[in-house]
Amino acid sequence: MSDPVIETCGLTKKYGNQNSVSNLSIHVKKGRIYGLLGRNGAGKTTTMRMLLGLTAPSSGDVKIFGKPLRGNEKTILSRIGSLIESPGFYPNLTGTENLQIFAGLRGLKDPKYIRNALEVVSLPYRDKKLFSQYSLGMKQRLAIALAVMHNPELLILDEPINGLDPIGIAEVRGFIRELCDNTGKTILISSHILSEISLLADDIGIIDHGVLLEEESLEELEAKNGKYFRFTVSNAALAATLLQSRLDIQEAEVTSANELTVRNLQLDIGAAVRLFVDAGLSVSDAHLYEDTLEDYFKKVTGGEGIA
Amino acid sequence: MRALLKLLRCEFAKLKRKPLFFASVAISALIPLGCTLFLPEMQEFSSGAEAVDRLMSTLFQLSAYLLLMPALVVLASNLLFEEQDNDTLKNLMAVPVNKPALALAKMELLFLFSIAFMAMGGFVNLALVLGKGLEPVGFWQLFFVGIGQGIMMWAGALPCVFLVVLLNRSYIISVIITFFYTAVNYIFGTNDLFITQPFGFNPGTLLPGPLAFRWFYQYLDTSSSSAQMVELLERISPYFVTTPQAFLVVILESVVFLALIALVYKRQGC
Repeated sequence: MSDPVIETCGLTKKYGNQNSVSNLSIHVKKGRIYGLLGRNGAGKTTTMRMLLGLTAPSSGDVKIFGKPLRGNEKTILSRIGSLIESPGFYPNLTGTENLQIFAGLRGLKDPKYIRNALEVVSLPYRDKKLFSQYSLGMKQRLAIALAVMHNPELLILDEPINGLDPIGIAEVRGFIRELCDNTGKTILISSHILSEISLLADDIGIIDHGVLLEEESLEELEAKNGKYFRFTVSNAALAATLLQSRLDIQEAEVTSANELTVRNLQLDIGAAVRLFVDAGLSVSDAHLYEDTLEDYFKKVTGGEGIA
Repeated sequence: MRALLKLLRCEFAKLKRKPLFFASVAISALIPLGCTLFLPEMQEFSSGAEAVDRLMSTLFQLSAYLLLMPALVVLASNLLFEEQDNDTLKNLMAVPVNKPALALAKMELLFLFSIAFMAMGGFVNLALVLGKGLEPVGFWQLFFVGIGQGIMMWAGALPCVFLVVLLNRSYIISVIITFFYTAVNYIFGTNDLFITQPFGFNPGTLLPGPLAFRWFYQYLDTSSSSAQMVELLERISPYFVTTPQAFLVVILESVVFLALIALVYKRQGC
């Protein structure tokens, strides 16, 4: 397997005595979307800022494209597109004029770079509207346009769907997926919105209180998720007794007067339903359930879920 | 060097629809126009040379000290804080842009502003002289003295800009610092204690006010001036500084303070 595009080793950022990011070691593979998932304040943005050299780490190393970031900023950063925190642009300029400034600094002379970038995020080229008059969604789109304008190999996107409406979210999601699938770009995306990460990412890193708790592919995480049967019956206690005595199922757990959970996937659900009905119980629901990513998130962070 | 030019071009692009910068250049016309309109002694001239001399001296002694100096520091804080205010520094650093180079590009822009300010004032004076139907005798020499004084004022504003960057405070604090510095320079620039110091390591040489005064004053024609002015000229003429001396100080001060500004700007987070 090729070397990771981003590799951090023991990355730590301290503010006073407080560890914002602690001993973080992430590995972002080439041509994949890595979702950095964590609550607000978990250390996602600090991590991304350190990856871009915007914040100096207290300790640890960052390697991007196989080279240490420190000392190679010029060659490495020119291959990265980024969106960090809120979109920052000059309010007295239009979207196109703002991009012209950054295109000039990146040495992109052909206006097609700006036109294409704006087209990708559905913003008009050479529009008269000033950045100060943009809606939050438009500002976010312009920031994405800036990130992709120079056709970078790696995109680092911090909460890119913030402020977008549902249609905008779907568009950006589709666009990010397309960038990865069609052009082989590597994308590191952070979010506190679990559903977004689960829809987009190939690999997921779960960060909490600055510590990386898990780093796995989505498939691996899904495989780890617990599966179980859940029955809604007129008498859950009786149903549990029936399963134990008649079908030798010991893993039946009564969760409420009418609900029964069985963590044994060998159970023949048809036989169980027949057994309940024959015993005079009414069965209103019988389902195979799977833990969601949110359940998993709760489990690994030992706390409450996120959006 | 090319990177600096690229940054300077971007600084110009950022000025679009920013009236403050262009209005600041335009205010260089205020004092010459005001004097011409409201002061009786500025309405009657015996010759074109006298008109040029008197009008240009308003530019040198009033506009440069009272308008250019504060305008430079206010614009500097506007330019240096704009990246923080608009949260654009992170985008620039991700390009990547060298932070000291960015600070220097902004100072270069101010350098050009200083020249534009003095040139604008000079051209307004030229228009006033021509408007009175007089021949602008000796105008071009004083025009270039004005440009030189603009450069001196720019270099002289750098310590104040450094202070503003170092304190990294709000515009109000910057404005207070600016006006204090302007007042000090104006007072020192007209005070015997400072303008009668020999060229050397002393406030009369290092402060922009006295230094500029001791340089430009020798180019003004005082033959038709009042007895009081002639007496002043006699008193300070031994302390006039030559153009190489004046610009040596400007270059040294610029190098030191540009380096300090770049260093402090670099160390501030984005």
